[in-house]
Amino acid sequence: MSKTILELDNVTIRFGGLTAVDSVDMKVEEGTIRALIGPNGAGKSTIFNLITGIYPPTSGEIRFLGNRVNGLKPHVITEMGIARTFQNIRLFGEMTVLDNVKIGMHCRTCTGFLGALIRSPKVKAEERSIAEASMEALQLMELDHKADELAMNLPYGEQRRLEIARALASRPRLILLDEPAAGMNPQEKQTLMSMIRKIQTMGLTIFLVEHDMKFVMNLSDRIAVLDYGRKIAAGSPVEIQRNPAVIAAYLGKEVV
Amino acid sequence: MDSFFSMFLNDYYIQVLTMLGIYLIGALGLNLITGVTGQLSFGHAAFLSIGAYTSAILSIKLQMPFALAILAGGLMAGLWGVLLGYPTLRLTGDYLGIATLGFGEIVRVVFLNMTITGGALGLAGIPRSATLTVVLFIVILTVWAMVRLENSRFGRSLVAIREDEIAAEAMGVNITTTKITAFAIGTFLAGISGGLYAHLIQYLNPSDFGFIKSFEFLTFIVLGGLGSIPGVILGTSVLTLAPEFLRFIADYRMMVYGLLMVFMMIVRPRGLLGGVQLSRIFSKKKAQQTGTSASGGAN
Amino acid sequence: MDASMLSQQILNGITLGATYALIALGYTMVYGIIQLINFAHGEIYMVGAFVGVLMVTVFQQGLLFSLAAAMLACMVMGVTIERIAYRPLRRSTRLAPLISAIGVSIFLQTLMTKIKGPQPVAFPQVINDALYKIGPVEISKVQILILIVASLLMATLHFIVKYVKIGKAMRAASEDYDTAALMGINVNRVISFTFAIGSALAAAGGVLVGLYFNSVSPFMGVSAGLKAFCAAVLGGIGSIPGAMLGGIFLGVAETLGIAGGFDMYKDAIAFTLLIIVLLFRPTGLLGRPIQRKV
Ligand SMILES: Nc1ncnc2c1ncn2[C@@H]1O[C@H](COP(=O)(O)OP(=O)(O)OP(=O)(O)O)[C@@H](O)[C@H]1O
Ligand SMILES: [Mg+2]
Repeated sequence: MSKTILELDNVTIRFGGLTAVDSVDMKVEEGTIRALIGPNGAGKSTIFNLITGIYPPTSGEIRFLGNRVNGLKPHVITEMGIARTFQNIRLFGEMTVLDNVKIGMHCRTCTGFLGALIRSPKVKAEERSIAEASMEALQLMELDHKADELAMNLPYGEQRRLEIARALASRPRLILLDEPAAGMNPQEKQTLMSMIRKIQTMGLTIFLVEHDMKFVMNLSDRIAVLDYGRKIAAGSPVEIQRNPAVIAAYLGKEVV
Repeated sequence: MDSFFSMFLNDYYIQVLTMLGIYLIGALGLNLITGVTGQLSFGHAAFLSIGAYTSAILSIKLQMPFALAILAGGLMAGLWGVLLGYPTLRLTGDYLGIATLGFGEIVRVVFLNMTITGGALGLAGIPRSATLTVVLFIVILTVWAMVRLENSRFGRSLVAIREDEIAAEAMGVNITTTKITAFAIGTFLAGISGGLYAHLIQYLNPSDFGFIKSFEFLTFIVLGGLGSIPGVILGTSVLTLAPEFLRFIADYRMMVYGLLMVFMMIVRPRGLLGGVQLSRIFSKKKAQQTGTSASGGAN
Repeated sequence: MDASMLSQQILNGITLGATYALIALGYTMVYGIIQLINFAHGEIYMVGAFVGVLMVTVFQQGLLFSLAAAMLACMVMGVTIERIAYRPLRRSTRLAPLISAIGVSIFLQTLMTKIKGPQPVAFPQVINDALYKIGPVEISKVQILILIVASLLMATLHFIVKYVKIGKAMRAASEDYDTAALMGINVNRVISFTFAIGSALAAAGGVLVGLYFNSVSPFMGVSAGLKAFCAAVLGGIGSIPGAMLGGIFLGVAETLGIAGGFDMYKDAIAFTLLIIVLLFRPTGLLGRPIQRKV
């Protein structure tokens, strides 16, 4: 049995009258690919926002490697080793592709503004290592040939991959991918799938939200299902496919 | 303000150029805050006035050496920048602008009522130490520093905050300290600019540092192209020199100036050199700039 | 300060505040729809006051006619300014229309200085002012007039926004611009209408203030505009009742501040209040909180 990297303990968040996430328990094992699925508005992105500290939970606790993370600021959580992508792509549009990835390295480097002015050999060395590591992350996502373009000029599928590259640059142990395949064509999805597997072999844990069932079933080790903020099922892809509650949740939506 | 240059007819061009340099330093400071980091400030003139009065008083009352007095003015402005920034930088977009506007007006009224500043009568007898050479030296130093920042880890984090605060935070940027550092540097430069101003004009009056002056600085950087160092230089030069070139139309000068502002914005809403970065001009790889949607600046 | 003096000051403050509110409404309505801080708005108020003077002196008209003429003239002006200086910039950076607005403001101010000279001119006394004593407080005819006109105008505005089609469209556009446009609302017309209404109210404010302080100057728009803007933000920018509340609140606070011995700091009162309110309620007294949605 591998160890638990992320643990949600009875986590709830309310927005006004709406309980977006309702007493959710979850455990993610290190080195696995975990998927979170559920109909639109189920609260999947909100769970990611809770884990990364963008919203504080109304109640409950979130632990990363045994340490409590709720209440910490997002940048501290990133530094601890959780990185993420966004469902509605949030790149730094007017920065180059390479600079976007370099920002991912921010929390692993330390030159402040004085260092930038003085530009000592140490600073230069750090700047070089940032550039190298960023190029590596770009290569992994097959974007290195676009390094000098502005992020906002990339096609959609590449923007999604750039988000992953940027997240990888922060050297996370856990990476949260919010609908990474959205808007991609089948071929791009296939490439993305092998990229995600490769990331897994590098020792990272992957936690993803995705609507494409084929993608999820193919890739994930375990799946959790969310509906109206509640966890209604969890298990292996085969178990989830057979689970009547899950089928009901999805059919219920699709019939309407 | 309109008749300010005409008061000093001797060494006229030197005066104008010195002034341009002084404005450039302040404008580069505001550019770091608003153009690069995307934090709206409508109160830049207040920091100029803090630097101006601090250095002037140190010069007059304590006979402090010029360089030290200027530095002290800059530090004082930067300190107030941090004091104001700490509570207000969590306000977003326009609200930050409004709070800084309010701060600017408060500072003006406070200077108007202090005895050590001479109140509404103004503060006279400041030594004229800001020569064109000194100013030019500081301008070069500032531009050099800004170019270095532009391509550093720190500079990148500023742009990231402008582009998307939430994403920047999620990528590990401590947005509070980063914004405050940017604010401190920007207001420090405003203070330096104000100190030099005091030691050029030799007379200070709180009414010279109203919100109109703050908007003038904002206009410099927006017209030149937010976030672009060559843009700031161009915008500040054009707007500082425009009233001089418009002198032939005498009384209609400011009217035309106002119309020009409207016209230039309509023709080039992103500013004259919007999106142009020095480091990119010099680097061999040229980045394609096909983007039409202008999302830069404060939003 | 005893009770009668206090109530007198409050009354004076409400009168002043009513004029702030009239100007603040223009700021708030425009901001509500296109998120532009229309820095030329104070200048419209100033022009309105001058049109009032012109009507009374040159055309020998009565107060109400002059008031209506000023409102109409400024309506046209406000709509024209939006057409020329703001509309082409609607899809550009947030700062571009702001700079354009400052350009318009400089232009109008210097234009008026050119026409009328920089000195303030007296507002002709079109009504025979008289003081009435009600209980412990004294109220002048001009004050009564200001309060009545301001209330009537605000009531009319309320009616338009609530019951008239274009007013409802205005509310819809301010609620959600893109959806309103999708639903077939002619957003350009709504924006023009908003500028028309806002400018008319500012012009009314200008004439009333001119009458109240018996002075009109090309520079009167600067500080009044800024303070009215403060009032709009205090109340919660984008909110019409907020602008009214903010205006009155500011007027009273300023008058009491001056009476309380802070008259040297008169111009700082508004801004100090503003910063304090923003720190505790970042979107103003009646503004809706911003939700950070990811
Ligand atoms: N900041 C917020 N304020 C108010 N309500 C919110 C906020 N964030 C999310 N919600 C609500 O919480 C619910 C869950 O939203 P969430 O974005 O987590 O859904 P999701 O499962 O990611 O859906 P989708 O598949 O469409 O991305 C929705 O009803 C949404 O409107
Ligand atoms: Mg989602």
